[in-house]
Amino acid sequence: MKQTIGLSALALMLTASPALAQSNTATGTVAIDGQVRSVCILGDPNPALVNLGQISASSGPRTGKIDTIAPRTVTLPASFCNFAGSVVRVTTTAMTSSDTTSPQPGFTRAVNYTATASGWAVGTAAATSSALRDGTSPTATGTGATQPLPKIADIAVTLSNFTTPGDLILVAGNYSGNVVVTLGPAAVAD
Amino acid sequence: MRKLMFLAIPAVLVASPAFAQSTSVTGTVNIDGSVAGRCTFTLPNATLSLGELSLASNGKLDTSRVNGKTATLTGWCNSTAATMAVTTTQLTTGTAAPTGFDNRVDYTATAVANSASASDSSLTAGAGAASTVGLFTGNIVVTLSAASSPSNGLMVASGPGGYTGNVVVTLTPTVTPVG
Amino acid sequence: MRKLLLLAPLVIAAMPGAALAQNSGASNTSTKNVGVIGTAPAMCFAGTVSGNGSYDLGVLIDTATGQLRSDLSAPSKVLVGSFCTGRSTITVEATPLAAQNSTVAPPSGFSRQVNYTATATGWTTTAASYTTGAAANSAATQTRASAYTNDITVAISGFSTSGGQSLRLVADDNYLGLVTVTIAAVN
Repeated sequence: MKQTIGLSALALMLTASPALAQSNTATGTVAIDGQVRSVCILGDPNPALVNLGQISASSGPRTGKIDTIAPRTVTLPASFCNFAGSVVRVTTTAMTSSDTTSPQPGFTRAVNYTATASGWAVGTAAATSSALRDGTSPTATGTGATQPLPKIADIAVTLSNFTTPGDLILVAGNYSGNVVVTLGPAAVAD
Repeated sequence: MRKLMFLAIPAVLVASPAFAQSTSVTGTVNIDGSVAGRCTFTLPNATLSLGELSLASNGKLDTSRVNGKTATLTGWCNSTAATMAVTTTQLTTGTAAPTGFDNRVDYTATAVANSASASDSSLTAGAGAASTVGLFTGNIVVTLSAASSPSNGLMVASGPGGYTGNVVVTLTPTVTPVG
Repeated sequence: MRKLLLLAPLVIAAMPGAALAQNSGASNTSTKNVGVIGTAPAMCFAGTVSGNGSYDLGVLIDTATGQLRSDLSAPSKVLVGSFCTGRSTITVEATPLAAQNSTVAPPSGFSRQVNYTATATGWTTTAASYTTGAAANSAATQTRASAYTNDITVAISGFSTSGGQSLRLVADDNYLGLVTVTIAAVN
């Protein structure tokens, strides 16, 4: 008797291993850096020139001597420093006559005054010139308190207290002086 | 009595015809597998140094120092459905900003790869919308734009660490189905 | 053996807290100038006259002769605290002592005027002086090159009868002359 063997093909299946639960997200990073320099900028003085007109008295007991001159204020608008620890400095230079010859006894060619800067840190920065009657030693400097934070503000500079050395008679002529205002970092202590 | 034992042996055999013949026989093996979707950065880090961020004339943000600046990463994705998204973090410095001042720079970062782009603004929290980037290998170019400061004020001078921020580009492959 | 341990102090360079200013035009220091101007015009003040404003000469004639006394004198006047704030001139002018009541031309042999010289000293190197009746008074104006303050002494002297010493003065109890000293600022 014949026997028939039938074999069916068996398919071999290669089963893939199940996908593992893993994160295939990738990240790339661009690091960005920059800096901002420390800067102070003073606003342009308004007015830039203070014209007192006639500074000597024309009549009365003070004829020829320094008149009473009302204070004048100049504004430096929107002045700023973007860093902590700044100060205002003022340097006052006495008004002196354009005639540079040494004045006769009884006369002065110098007018002293005070410049006061306010609006920055606590208090003010002030300097009063103390020129001699011949105009020597005309300059004085004052420094204000340290401003602890960056700041933007209007700085006011007031000119006042106009006097003459010895209250002497003013030599005739055109007088000019100036105030230098500086805004910058407070000096580093040694 | 003799017993006859028949052992069934599984075999890969072809059914033989009733009559023995010399014809060829064919067997088939089906093989299948899968490749998981992947994305990778081959150059995952870059640094973009913008330099001085403020205008010399007035101390405010100089947007030209930010806008248009680029950095390039490289990577690839093997899935046609891969997506790309950007997360932008603003530039900041640790110093506080009084009234009238700013201590941060916001901007938009746009990543372009395989002609697809995705962007995000540092003004909005979290990542920007993802875009389909597809199957690619090559550059991912990050470009900055729309720089701004919160009050358009004076920039605070940077502290010791300077102003820092970053742009993170995320490539996400699609999840490969199993079975 | 003693060992000496030397510790070298660490020198830490102090840097300002702010970042160093970059060489790009902006700076951490800003400076602005405020100018102040004014003028003191040239002006003069002719001082305060000492005492009263008159030289009192008293009786002008020698009563024995009727002619001008030869010893007429009066103390100088002083202009106290005179000043000019710049270059100046001083000018002296004077009018003869003239009879104020007897104003008609006097008869022959008589005169009604007395001349004299007024001199202002203390202002210029060369005193300014004016002689009444002189043909010319070239010294009447003098110049001071600089600002000056001083007392100006004004003296009168050199009295002479107008028309000649031999003439007699007409009677009048009011002979009057005027001395004017002017200081003026000049450019």
